[in-house]
Amino acid sequence: MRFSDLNSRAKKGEVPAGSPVRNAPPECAKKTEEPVKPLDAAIPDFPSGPLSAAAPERPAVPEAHPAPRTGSEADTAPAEPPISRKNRQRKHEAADRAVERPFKELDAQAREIYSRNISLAKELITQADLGYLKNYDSLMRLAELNSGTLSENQSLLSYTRYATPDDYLYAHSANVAVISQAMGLELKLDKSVVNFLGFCALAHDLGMTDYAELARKEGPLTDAEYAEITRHSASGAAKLDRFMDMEPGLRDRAKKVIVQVHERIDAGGYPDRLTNEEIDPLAQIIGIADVYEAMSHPRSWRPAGHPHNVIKHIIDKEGKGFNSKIVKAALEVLSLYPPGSMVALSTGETASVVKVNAGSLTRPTVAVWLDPDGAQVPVRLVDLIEHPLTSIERIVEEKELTTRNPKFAARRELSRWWVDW
Amino acid sequence: MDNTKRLLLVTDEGYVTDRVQEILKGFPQFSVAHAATGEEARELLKESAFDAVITDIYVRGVSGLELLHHAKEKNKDVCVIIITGVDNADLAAKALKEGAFDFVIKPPALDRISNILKLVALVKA
Repeated sequence: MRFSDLNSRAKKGEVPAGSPVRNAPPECAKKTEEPVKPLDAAIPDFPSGPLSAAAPERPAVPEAHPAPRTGSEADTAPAEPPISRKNRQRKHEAADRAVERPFKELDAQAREIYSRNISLAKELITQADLGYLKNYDSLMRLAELNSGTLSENQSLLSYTRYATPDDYLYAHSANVAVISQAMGLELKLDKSVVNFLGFCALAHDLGMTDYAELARKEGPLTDAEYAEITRHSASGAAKLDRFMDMEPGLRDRAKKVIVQVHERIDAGGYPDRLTNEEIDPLAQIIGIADVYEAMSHPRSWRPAGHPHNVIKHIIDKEGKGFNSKIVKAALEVLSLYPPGSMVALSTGETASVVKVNAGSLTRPTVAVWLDPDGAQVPVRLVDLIEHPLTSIERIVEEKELTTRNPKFAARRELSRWWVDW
Repeated sequence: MDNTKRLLLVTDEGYVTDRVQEILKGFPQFSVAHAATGEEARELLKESAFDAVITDIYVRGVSGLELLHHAKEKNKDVCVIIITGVDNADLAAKALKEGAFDFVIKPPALDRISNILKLVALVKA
């Protein structure tokens, strides 16, 4: 629960935020199998690639012509184009595959690791309320796995666009952990610190289960309710005592970090209104990842913000509450068009960002979904660094996507929910 | 005062210069220096650090890529925007890989430059 959430709700008043997003109940996601498969490119519903799309086209040419034409014309005229087109097609396919094959492998690996993040986050959150915990070691191993993967496979970061339908906290905790760890690596923190950061991030909202009703409330919170929910950081930190297999020294640091996640350097945070050096840098990292994750994912009281708008808001407004180095690390990791952003390209096509290219804030790798007319095309990956003539022109928000292609927009909305089969 | 950002514009074609200068009027947070030759630009970049550089991919005497490196030496967080013709797309891709912020195709479209500058202003704020 954050101040900005409270503020925006206060401004909007009672409007339950149109909640088109949250209204798509979890059951919907379960009913249809294809949209929830996490890899955009692997959704089986789409024609499987350039090959299958092109195949029926070729015979159509000679078939359409022979009747009205003379024999010789029919022989010569259609004979040429198919060959050259076929060659051209082959060239394109080869080029496309060259981008896609390694991407698919990396993506499959990332998916597996993300899935492990979700299941361990779920285990942690549900077991923390049962009395005692003994999975500190396994959580640290997961954090190691995340660090190792993030340093060589950026695809893992792209998975943070998912949300869990049964309880938002599961994906929220996993996403905040992945984003925080990526920031830790960007800040060149020691590997062991990055892993510890991952653990703290996974556990940062443990206290939220005590305020589950307030966290799921659809309308705006009253001041009293808000004051109550700010106590979740302390109650989460207290739950760390239930870890039987955690060193006391580490436990104290982790408690400090978790209590301070909502503190801001301009003293605008809670619970203790700390400033600058009083706040643990790890808490600042988790704090900014938490803000980004929360605002870019749907909640029961509001729809999700477009990731590009969220990162802009963070730099512009929320950034004042954070050390500038940390804001910069978040920007480097997420870029100006974070994974999951729907964008319009200069070609007129509509695409979604699937991978941030390190070092470039404006040129990620995108998956092209819709042609300039809004019709769905076989999905194709474009690395905007390798294709400098194409660029992102603007973002496409959900409303616009719905007018362009309602069917695709609905499917896209469903595909945001993570369901592990 | 501290919030003013230094921007260097390196172009030797009159119409490009005019067009970009026009857009920059909308961004009071940048104090703009202009260099019309590669030599001039190189010296300015060696002298002091800039927050942003807008440069043609070829300016008399020097390539935008070289200027990119000079700019990075003084300030590794500099945002370099490269203006290029369609023919030099490969070079532009190389510049992107070496850390250019983004680039604009000639003739530069007004809204594209101003969109990029908005992002630069945001990142540099």
